[in-house]
Amino acid sequence: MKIHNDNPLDLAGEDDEVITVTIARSKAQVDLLLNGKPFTSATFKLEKAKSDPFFLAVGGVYTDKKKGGGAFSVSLSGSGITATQTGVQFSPKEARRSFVFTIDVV
Amino acid sequence: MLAVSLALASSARAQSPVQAQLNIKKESLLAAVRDQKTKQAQVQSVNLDLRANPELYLLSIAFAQPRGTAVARELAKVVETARVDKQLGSGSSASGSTSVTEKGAVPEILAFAVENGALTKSQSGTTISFKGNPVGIVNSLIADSLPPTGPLSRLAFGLEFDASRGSDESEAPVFEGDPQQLSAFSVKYEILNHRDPDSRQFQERADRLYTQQRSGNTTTTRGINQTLLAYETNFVKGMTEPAHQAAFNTWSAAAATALDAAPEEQLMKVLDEQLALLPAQVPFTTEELASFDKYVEFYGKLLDSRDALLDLAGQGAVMSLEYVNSRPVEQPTESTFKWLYEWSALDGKMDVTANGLLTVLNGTIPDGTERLKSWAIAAQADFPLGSIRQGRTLIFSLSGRAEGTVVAPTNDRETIWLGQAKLTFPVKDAGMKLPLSLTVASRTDLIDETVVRGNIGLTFNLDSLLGM
Repeated sequence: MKIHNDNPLDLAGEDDEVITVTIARSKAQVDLLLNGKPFTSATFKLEKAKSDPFFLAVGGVYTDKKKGGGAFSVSLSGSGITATQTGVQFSPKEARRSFVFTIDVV
Repeated sequence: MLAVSLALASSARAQSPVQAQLNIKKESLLAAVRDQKTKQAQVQSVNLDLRANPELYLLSIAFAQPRGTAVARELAKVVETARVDKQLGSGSSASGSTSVTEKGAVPEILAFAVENGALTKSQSGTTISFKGNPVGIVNSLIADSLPPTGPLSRLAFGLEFDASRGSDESEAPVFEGDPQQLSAFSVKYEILNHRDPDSRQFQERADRLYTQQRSGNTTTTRGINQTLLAYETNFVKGMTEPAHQAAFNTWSAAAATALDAAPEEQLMKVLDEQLALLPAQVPFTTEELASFDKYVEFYGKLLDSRDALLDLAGQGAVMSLEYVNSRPVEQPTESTFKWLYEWSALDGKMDVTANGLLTVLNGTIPDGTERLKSWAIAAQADFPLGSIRQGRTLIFSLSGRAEGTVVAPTNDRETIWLGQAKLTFPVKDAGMKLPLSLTVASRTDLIDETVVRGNIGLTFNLDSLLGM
């Protein structure tokens, strides 16, 4: 796996490469969609025939609207490289935050 | 003062709940831009990467013009911004000056603490009460600090002053805040609070409720979040198509340059201007514009669903102990120990409140007087029986109270008990409630007989009127 432009959301990986997903969260509920479908596993395999690029969308719903302090992070690891994106609740009024990883299959 | 407060409130900028979320996204992006500028670095296009913030772009484009029905509906759901609360709060504290004048250093210090949110103030007749939290006071004086957490944050204290003390009956009461006017002080500690989002119990309930279909909803909060993610995936996917990607890259490069050149106070204005240009520069199809409109609809649903979830998750148990030292004029001081317990069970289908109270006289007391002045225990269970119409809920309550006190003229200690069953009917207009109750008591006043009484009352919640 490679990280483009120092941007952890802009990734590339080889065909058949297995990507490991790690989620950490505090005062947040996190959902993932891989190529538009709910994803609950710990790993997935890049397959050019299925999709190119792969889209992994991450959405966190914060569960403290009084004090805030909700946070979540998702790390993608493959071939010794790890890309991590975090979603830190900006203020107690922020309800949700999302981001989308794109992984070009080369 | 109320009229002034309401006028100020109406001048505050109004926005819908989803628009409020959009503003947070903008503020968050600008915080990153400011951070970049502080490091003397240029605002790079990567800061504006749509993958990092699809909500910002989807909502901005959707709200750029109220072209869709969902956006129009959302815009109609106008709520006042947080500034309204601040103005109204200030009005409430200012009301203290209408009947009781204030002077001296202590009132000034207390007023300063109230103004800065370190203390809350209330007034009843000539009694002025201040309540605060030691950690909260320190916290409120630190700019942009978050609410306090940890065991010390559960400690609260209260001060009560009687402004009529120390002044002639013919003169207006003057609040000087001296020890003579201190009529009571209290210390309260929350032993447990499962309504605190920091508690494990709260977050466990949130976990459970997140995937649970609740009454009145066809989907779960998780289901709505996944729907939003599907829209965001499609948006990012669409923007990687060559025609859209080229237009977006041109836009983001220009927007980054504009933000880079903007002075601090103009950043939000420049961001708004740049976001307004986006729908004109990227050739969105009619289908895409319609999907942005639907996105707003689902975003609104998520906010509603999350609010309901957090309300339910926040219905855990709360238990606290309180000590009150009362200082009546020319009488022994009294110590009152209170135990308070609140609990909500069955996903909000039953609310239980219980408390116990013990009052003893302090110091040297006259011969023949008992040190234990009184005791009381009380409990109430509320059962919402369901919505009658348009969300108005019929509530059935059962309550009981037992009290041991010295009763005149015999000065014998007696135990008085009272039981009540109550049905509360919501009336059509906001805030109106009609309680119908049946009360059974061991005695009332000096009648040493069991009394059975039926009551029909009418209550009106002024807050709902002011909140309209």
